[in-house]
Amino acid sequence: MSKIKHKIAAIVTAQIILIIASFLTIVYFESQAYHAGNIVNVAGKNRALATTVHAELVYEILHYGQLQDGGGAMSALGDLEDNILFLKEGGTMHGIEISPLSQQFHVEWDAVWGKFGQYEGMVTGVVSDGSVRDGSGPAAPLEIDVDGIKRTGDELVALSDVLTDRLGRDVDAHSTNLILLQAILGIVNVIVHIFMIILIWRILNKHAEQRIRMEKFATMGKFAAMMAHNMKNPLGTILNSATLIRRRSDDADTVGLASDKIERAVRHMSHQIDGVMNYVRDVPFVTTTESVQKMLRRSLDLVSVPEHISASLPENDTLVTCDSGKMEIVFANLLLNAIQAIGNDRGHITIRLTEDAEDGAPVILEFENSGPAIPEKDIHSIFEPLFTTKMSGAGLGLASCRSVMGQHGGSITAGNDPVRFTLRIPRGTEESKTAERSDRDA
Amino acid sequence: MPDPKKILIVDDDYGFLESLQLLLMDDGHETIPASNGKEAIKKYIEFEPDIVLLDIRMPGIGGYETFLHIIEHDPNARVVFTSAYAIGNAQYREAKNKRLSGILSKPIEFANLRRMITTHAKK
Repeated sequence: MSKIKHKIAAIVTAQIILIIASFLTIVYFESQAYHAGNIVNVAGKNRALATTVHAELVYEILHYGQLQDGGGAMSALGDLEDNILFLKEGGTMHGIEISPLSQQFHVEWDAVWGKFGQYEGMVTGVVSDGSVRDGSGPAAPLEIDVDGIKRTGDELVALSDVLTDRLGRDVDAHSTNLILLQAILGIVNVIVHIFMIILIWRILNKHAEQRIRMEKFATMGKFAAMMAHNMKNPLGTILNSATLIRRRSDDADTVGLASDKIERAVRHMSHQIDGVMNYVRDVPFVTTTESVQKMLRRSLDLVSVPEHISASLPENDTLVTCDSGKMEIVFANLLLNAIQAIGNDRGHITIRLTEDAEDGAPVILEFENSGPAIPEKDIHSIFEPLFTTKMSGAGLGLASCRSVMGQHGGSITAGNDPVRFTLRIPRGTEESKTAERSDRDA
Repeated sequence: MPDPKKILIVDDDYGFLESLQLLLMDDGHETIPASNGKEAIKKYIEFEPDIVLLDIRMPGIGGYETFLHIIEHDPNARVVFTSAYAIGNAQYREAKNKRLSGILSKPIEFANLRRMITTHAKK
C-alpha cells in the first residue's frame, strides 16, 4: 500500500518539476526576447537622434548663421553618442533595460561608431572655428559645408539602419525559436501527462485486483472457520454416540471395532478442523504443564501409524508448560507428513528429545523420517499457508504448525539428510508469560 | 463409576445435547438440559447443579454472558465451556479470572470430560 503511495508521489513530483522547468525555460527565453526587442528600439533611436542633430544644425545656421555651443544640435549630438555607447555596453537608460551587445554585431556597431566619430568631428568643427558666439552681432558669413555634414549624417543613419536591421532579424529568429520551444514543451507535457495517467491507472488496477484477492481470502477464511465450527457439533454427537454404543454393546468384538473406527474417523476430522481453526482464528491459549512423552503418545494414537512404518519415541521425557491440545496438533501434523512422505515403502520415523542443561534453554524435539528429501527450492516455502505438493490436503498443516510454535514463542525448522523437522519448545514455566506471548502473536 | 453429580448441559444443538446427556446418564449422573442462555440461568437457579457444561455460541444470550450471570448468582459455580473456538484469548482470560473451571473442545473426549467433572464439580 505505502509502496503504491510512494510510486504515485514520485510520478506527481516528477511532473511538478517538469512543469516548473518548462515555465522557467519559457520565462528565460521570453526575457531574452524582450531584451533583444529593446535593443532594436535603442538602435532605431539612432536614426531619430541623427535627424534631430541635422535639423537643429540647419536651424541654428539659418537663424544665427552659426552653431550655438550648448545649443540643440550639440545636445542632440551628445544624446546620439550616449545612445550608441549604451547600445554596446547595455544597462538601463530612461527606464529601458538592455543586455550588452552580442559579439556577432560588433562589426556593424564599429562601423556606426567610426562614422559617428567622423560626423561628430565635422559638427564640432563648425563650433570651434573661432567665430562670434554670443549671437548678438550679425552673423559673419561662414563657409560651412552643410551638404558635407548632411551626407556624413546620412551615411551614419544608413550604417545604423544596417545594425538595426540585423538586430531585428535576430529578434525574429528568437521569437520563432520561442514559439517552437513552447510547442515542444507543450507536447512533452501532454505526453508525460498521458504516461502518468496510464501509470496511475495501472497501479490502481493492480491494487484493486490485490484487494479483491485479499477480500476473497478473508471471506474464505471466515467461511472456513464457520464451517469448521459448525462441523464440531455433529462430530461431537457422533463421538458421544459411538462411545455410548461401544459401552452398551453385548457383541463387543464387532460393535467395538465399528465404534473404534467411528471414533478414529471423528478424531481425524476434528484434527483437520483444528488445523484450519488454529490458522484462521485466534483460539484461546490454554496452558498446562505436560509430559512430552504423553503428548507424543496421544498424537500417535490420533494418526494411526501404518504397519509398514515403525515409529520410535524418545526414551527420555521432560515437562513443558504449553497448550497441549495445540502442541499435539503440531506433533500429529509432523507425523502425518512423515507417513505421507514415506508412502507405501517400508520406513521409519524417529523422534528425538534433547534437553539443554542450561537454564531457560528450549526443549528440542526432532522428527526424522526415511522419506524422500524436501526439494531445495521448496524448503523455504513449505511453511507458507496454502503451499502443498500433495494431491490432497489444504496446505495448512505446516503453516498452522508454525503459527502454533510462534504462539508458544518457539520455532519450527526443516532440514534434509535425513528429512528432519526440528521444534524448539520453550519450557514456559509461567502461564502468564505464555498467555501474553500468544496475545502478541494473535 | 464416578460419584453421581447433578450436571446442567447447555447447548443449542439438540443432537449434541441429547448424546452428551445419554453418555453422562450412563455414567450415573443426573443431567439437566437447557437449549439457550436464558433457560440455563433459570435452571441453574432452580436446580443448583454441581457443574455446568456451557456452549459458547448460542442464539440470544451467548455462553459468555450466561457464564457471567451464573457466576454473579453463585460465585462458587463450576462452569466448563464446551466450544474452544468461539471464544477469544482476552475473553478466555477474563473468564479465567472469574473462576471459569475449564474449557473442552468439541468433539469432547469423554476421558477429559470425566476428569473435568471429577476435578471441578461441587463435592
